Amino acid sequence: MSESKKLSVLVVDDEQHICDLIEVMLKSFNIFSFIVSSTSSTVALQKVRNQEFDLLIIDNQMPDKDGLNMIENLVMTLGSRKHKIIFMSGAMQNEHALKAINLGVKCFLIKPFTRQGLLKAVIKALGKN
Amino acid sequence: MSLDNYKLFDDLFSGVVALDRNEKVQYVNQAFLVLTQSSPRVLKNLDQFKLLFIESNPIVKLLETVKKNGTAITEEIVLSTTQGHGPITVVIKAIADDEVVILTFNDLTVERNLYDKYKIQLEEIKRTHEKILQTDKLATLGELSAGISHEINNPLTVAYGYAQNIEWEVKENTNLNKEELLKSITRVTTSLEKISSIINNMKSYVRTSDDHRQFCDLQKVTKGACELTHTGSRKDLIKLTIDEVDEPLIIQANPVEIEQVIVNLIKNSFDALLDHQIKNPSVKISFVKKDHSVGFAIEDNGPGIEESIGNMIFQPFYTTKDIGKGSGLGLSISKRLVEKYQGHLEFTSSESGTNFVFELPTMEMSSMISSGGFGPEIGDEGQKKILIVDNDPNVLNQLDEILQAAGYSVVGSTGGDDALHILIQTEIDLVITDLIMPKLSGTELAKKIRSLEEELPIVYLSGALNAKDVFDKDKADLKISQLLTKPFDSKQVLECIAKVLGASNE
Repeated sequence: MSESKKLSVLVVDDEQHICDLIEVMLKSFNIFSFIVSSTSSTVALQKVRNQEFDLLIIDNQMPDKDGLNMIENLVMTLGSRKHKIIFMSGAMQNEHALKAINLGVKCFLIKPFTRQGLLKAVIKALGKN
Repeated sequence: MSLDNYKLFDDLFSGVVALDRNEKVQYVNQAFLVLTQSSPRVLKNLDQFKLLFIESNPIVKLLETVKKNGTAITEEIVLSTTQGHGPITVVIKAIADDEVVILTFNDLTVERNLYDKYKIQLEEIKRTHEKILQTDKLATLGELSAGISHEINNPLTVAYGYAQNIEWEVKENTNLNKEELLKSITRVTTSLEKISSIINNMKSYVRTSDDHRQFCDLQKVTKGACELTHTGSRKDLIKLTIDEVDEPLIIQANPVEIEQVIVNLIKNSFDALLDHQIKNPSVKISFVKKDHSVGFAIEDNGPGIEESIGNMIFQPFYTTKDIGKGSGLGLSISKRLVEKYQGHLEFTSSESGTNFVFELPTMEMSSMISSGGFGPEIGDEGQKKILIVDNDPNVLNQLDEILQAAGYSVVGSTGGDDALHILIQTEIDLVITDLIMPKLSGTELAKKIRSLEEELPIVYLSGALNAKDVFDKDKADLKISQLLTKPFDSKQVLECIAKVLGASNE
């Protein structure tokens, strides 16, 4: 575990409560040493440009720009699909899911989710045990 | 009268029967035969005319009266003949001399049937109208449900998540942190409260509207409507601003119906903005308080309503929306609902946006109208009229219910100049005023009342701690009759008022 303790994660959801909840859950997983959250996708984009994150958890529905836009933006500006992303949504529409997959997203999380569900998604996204 | 003379009756449209003093039939005209579907032979063979009918009491009574007084008339009666015809609805007139009794039968069956038919049809229309209202609400809610479910999903996620955290902490964590646990529990509770408030909002929206008018705050109703409509992607995409005014805008109406109007207007604006993919879509809601009316205005920066269809939008089933997106009922229903409360709904539109406005009479106006404040009503002289001044609609409703049930007539007011206007315009027997109000305190109002009316009984109403002090201070100077403390029950209120009105009558 000591190596993976260095992992960092960014949570993006327009609802502060949901950011808080995910932070609390992630903390209890004992996987991440650095957990950041943002309620604005614009601010989140800035953060990703400034700093490397091992995992991004992004909500689809947000007022300034939706999660898909943010992922698209990441792929376009940072030029790669290197980011490990969990794409989160309350009601996943097929077209959104398809678009996300095309953008390299491998992991989805439907709200409301369980603690176990989040843990599984994180493990799957990170590709480690 | 000889039989030949009866020929005069042959061609009349009313049934005519002539009887001798023994009530045996001497003559019937054609119209009577048609009316009762009986044959001349049967009638001639009857020992007494009354035997033609199954339930002959009214005929017997009629014949008794006519023999005594010379003339007689029945009420509307229903008859069936022993030959199996009927029921027919008739009014019978009779005249008599020493020899004969002549009866004329006026057939009302057709009129009666028509009347019953119209009555049934009217009721059906009323029921249909109620159903249409309900259908519109359900359709609207259906269209809003995606947004609302998103609105519920977020707090649900939070509640669910924290509940699981608590479970995990309790099961796995040996270092139980009580404070953290409590924090999680609070979050579960607040999230569930949020969900329940959304559900309550929906429930109150679909509740079938009865005709119960109550005092309600237009701004509060508007907030409820916004919470229902400004949800999901609509919330993310459209900027909604509400310009609140800092005084309560109390109207006397059924809040469910007013909310329906507002939901319809907001949804129309949202739909127009999203369907036409307007850049920076925004909707602004504002309120106007005038002397006798309260106004609601909603303005969007949408594409506007084409002039050619302008007048059609208020017609039922007219819609420009795609199939399945609108019933075409929203605006026609809204207009009807607003007009029901003596208000009016209008719009102005240009290429840069649409502006819908409705105005409703202030509650002072509506409660004066409904209490017959603009003139004495017949048979109403004994009813005492009470003016209640309070800026809290809940208190107004509570007092209104108690006093109306006890047979008083009630006029409500939120205070200030509006209350004084009522005093000038209408005869009031008693004033109940709250002490703490934003514009004019109870004491100030009492002073102003005293400059108008020296003897009008005034009762203070308050839940404040210092209410007793204020009352004691003003009691002599301003002739304040009583102090009614909040919270109160119906017995306290009625006793207090009976005491004050009793004293002022002596």
